[in-house]
Amino acid sequence: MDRKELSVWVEKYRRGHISRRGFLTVTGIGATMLGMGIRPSRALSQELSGTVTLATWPSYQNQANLDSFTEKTGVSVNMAIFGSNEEMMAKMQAGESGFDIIAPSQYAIPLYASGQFIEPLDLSLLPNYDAAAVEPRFVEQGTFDGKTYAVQKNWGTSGFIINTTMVTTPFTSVKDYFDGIRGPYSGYGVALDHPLDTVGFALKYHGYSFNSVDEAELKKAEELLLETKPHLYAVTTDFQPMMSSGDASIAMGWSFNAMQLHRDMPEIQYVIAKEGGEIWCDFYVITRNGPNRAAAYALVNHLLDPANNVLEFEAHGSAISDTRVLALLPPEVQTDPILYPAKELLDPLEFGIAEAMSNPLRNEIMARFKSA
Amino acid sequence: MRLAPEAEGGGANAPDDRTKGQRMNDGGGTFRGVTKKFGSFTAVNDLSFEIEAGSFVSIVGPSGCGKTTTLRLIAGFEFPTVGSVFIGGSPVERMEAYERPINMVFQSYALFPHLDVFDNIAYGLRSRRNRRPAAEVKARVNEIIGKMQLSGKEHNRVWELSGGQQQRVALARAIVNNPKILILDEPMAALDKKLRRDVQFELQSLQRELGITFIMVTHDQHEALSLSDRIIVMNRGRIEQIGSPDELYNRPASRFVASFIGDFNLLELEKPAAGGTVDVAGRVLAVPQERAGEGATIAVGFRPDALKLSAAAPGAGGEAWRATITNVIYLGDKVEIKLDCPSSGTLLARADVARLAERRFRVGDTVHLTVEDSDFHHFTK
Amino acid sequence: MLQPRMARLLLLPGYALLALTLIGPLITTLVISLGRRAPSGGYETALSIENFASVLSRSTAFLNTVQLSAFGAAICILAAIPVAFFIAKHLKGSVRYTVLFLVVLPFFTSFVARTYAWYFALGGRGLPAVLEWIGLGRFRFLNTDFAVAIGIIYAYLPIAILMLFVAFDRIGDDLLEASNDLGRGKVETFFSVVIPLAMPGLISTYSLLFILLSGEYLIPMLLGGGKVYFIGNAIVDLFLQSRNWPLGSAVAISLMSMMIVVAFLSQIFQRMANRDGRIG
Ligand SMILES: Nc1ncnc2c1ncn2[C@@H]1O[C@H](COP(=O)(O)OP(=O)(O)O)[C@@H](O)[C@H]1O
Ligand SMILES: [Mg+2]
Repeated sequence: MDRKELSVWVEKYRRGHISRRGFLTVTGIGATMLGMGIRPSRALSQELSGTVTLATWPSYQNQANLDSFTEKTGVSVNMAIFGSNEEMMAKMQAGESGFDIIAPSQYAIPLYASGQFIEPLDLSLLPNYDAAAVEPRFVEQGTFDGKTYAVQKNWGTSGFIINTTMVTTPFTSVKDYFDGIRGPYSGYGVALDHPLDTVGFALKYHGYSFNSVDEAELKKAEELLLETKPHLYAVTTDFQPMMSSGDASIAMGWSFNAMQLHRDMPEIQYVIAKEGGEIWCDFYVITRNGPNRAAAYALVNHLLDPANNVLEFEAHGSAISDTRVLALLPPEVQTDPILYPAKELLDPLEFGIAEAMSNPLRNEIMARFKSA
Repeated sequence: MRLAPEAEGGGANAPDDRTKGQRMNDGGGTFRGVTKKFGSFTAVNDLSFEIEAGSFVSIVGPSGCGKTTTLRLIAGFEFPTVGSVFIGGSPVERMEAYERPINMVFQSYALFPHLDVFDNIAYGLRSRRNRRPAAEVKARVNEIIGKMQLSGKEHNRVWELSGGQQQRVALARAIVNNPKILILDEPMAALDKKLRRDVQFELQSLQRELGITFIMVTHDQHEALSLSDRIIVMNRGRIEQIGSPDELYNRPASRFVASFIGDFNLLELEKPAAGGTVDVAGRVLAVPQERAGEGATIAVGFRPDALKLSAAAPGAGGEAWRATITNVIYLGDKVEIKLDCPSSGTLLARADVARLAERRFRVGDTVHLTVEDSDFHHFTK
Repeated sequence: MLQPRMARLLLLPGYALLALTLIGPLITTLVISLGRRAPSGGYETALSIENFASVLSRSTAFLNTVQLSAFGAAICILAAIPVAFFIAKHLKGSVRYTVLFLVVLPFFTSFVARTYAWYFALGGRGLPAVLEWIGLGRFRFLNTDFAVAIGIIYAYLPIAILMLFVAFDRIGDDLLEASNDLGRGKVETFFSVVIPLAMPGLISTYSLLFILLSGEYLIPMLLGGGKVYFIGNAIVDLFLQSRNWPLGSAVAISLMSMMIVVAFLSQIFQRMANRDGRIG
């Protein structure tokens, strides 16, 4: 597939026709290196040169910021696009990824840090990063062993996306999700093709922690999942087209999915379950053996510039916690119930943790659920 | 040996309308103004002829003249662009090949490689359309197998057989169905020369015995001459002449036929002779009665056997009828002599060796030529 | 003139490359399959056949794969037969090659994009919307065996047509005419001459399709939505999602073994069919 064809798909993705996983199948499984960089018109910086590679998610960066970085420094930017933290980590574990910067979610950071894949950040090289401007709970997620390994990019929640014209009974909980799908909405539910969330919500149904690795608890979660599987319409992250076409009426999903769907179809709404669920946060980290370390710092610093970060927000549409950025955004953004839910809804949410992500049983349960 | 089903031992004598003793009467074929075009190319042009039931007819002509196309029009693999085809008096040009009471021996034999000899031969008797009871199939196929000297080969793969055996299977596969007409497309083409002569005899006796009409395509005029009751000579999609071997040899209707059937010394005239006489290199010949109405004579000629050589006395026509021997070829009891004649070009003479015994001709000798007036053929086309 | 010994020597680099690209990964996979998943995913050395025992936990995916591959290959063949036969035996000269070219034309566009086209066509805003508009009621096609079968048939039909074209083309016209001449019409001839003679081709086409289909993961992923799940999807997920490389390798080796068995059986059947129907 050539660049032009790709850009069409990227555009489609942006408009919500396809989502992460779908995008990935188009671009090819795993890492597809995209030569997105433009030739620098002139190199202004003496010490920076070459290419820097950023591993990130589909539709997650603003090309304008990458272009302006190239313009300013002469360094061209490559993007490697991934559909999940698991895939990104698989690529890192396979060795020699060639990535300088990656954009993992919080639960992957301890695994990267303990696996010596990334290095504690030299904050002196990131003058645009202001830890004080970011909510402490997010700052904390980027810290491992007391050192800052990651700077915050954006955050969101996991919950349920429902089409209110089709789901007519009250819907407020994880219970409503699993019981609804096994009951009146059989054949219309979607589970995420994402072990952390799907296994996590099944645990939540029984009142356990989202991150539980307890064998007995996981056994009950697996039973629930296997029981639910025949009633599901799909197990996928690519559910936006299914929701907008009415093929599905309930989906487990992320807040940015909900944003995109709700914007086009107001009857599609987002529910953060009253039992809780997941709050997540994506970061920038710098790899230990990346080929262009200096440029990596420069690019992260460039992206954290509040004015540039506003452009980033426009591109990914996910919540940003940096107060300097929020100050530059229209006030209604901060009261949007999907982007910035009320505190009492956020309180019961848990951050996914590394132990849950890497736990063999959780992963095997997900795999068995899918192949059931 | 007979092939009619009545002859079968212990067999149920199922009535078979293709063999009710009327074979001799309804196995004739007629073409009436048949033209076949492939796109803008005319392969067969306005063909009309009749084939008598029970006769052995050959179609001869140079490669590409439309012989195979003519056969395929009879068999039903091609349909006339214009004209009608009749078999046994009824029009068949709307009938598919599988509906026609005709069977064919293909040039390639077209034996079914996935079937053994027995099943190949039984193929027609097991078709939905002409299905016979299993016992009858067995009896008829075995009879044919014996007749075609294929006993013991029943369960051989056809591609394990020699060329001659394959040809007999192809023949057996066709005649076992008692067709009204058997057509053969260059049946000898794939056989070696020695085998070819044996097969020719076999074919002839088979035809006599079965009494069914054989239509055979060949490009070998000797084969046609020795086997056929009648021969159709084709050239460029048209019929040049139809006749018995004797007629074609002795009364060729055109220069083409004369040269194509047997050897012929053809003398083209410089200008067509419209009157009652023709001048051939100083010799004046009277145009025969039967040619008189056909128009101007454009060529004359004679068979090699009509050419007599002598060392001494010049014949009529004087010096012009002298030639130099360029080749002498002994063919067993015959000798062929090639001559270079200043007035007529290359000529061929043929004579019995015995007749020439006392007079040895050698290459380089100059001889006088003699041809009887009555041995000259006159051509208007 | 090359000495045989010399020629063999010249072939050495070729064999080395073959070994490197074919056998190398195979051995790697085999070694990994005997290992253990590292605590945070990936591979850790060990020597155990436990992973092969766990392959059984994917039996549903295996069953799914075998059923849909067997069915999909059969439908491909059934659909390809008339098309291939028509091209091979009824089209002449340049027309047949033009038509063949049209058949393979989809290969020149991206496979993913073509499958995606079906994703949109079968999704709620595609065909179902049309059917609803006509008044036939509400249908859902996506994420069903039906959708995956459609995707498979669409994607693999050209291969089937191409392979069967070759099989039919090899059958001489004279054999079909001989059959006609011996009193059998087109249909009867098709079943008594064409099918038996094309049998080796039919068998090899079927087994090739079966093998290709049973390795398929993209079509079930896009059109099966996690509901129709092939063994290929299980392998992708084991490597990229659960990061259980040893089990992924064990499943991959099991799949490969199945393919080898199918290829082997196909060889045997072809040889049997060939003995009955050698052409030439
Ligand atoms: N199916 C066909 N399409 C086009 N031309 C054909 C076809 N069959 C025969 N011809 C042409 O018709 C002419 C006569 O062919 P054919 O009857 O096979 O000649 P013969 O058997 O006398 O050698 C040839 O020029 C041949 O190329
Ligand atoms: Mg011919």
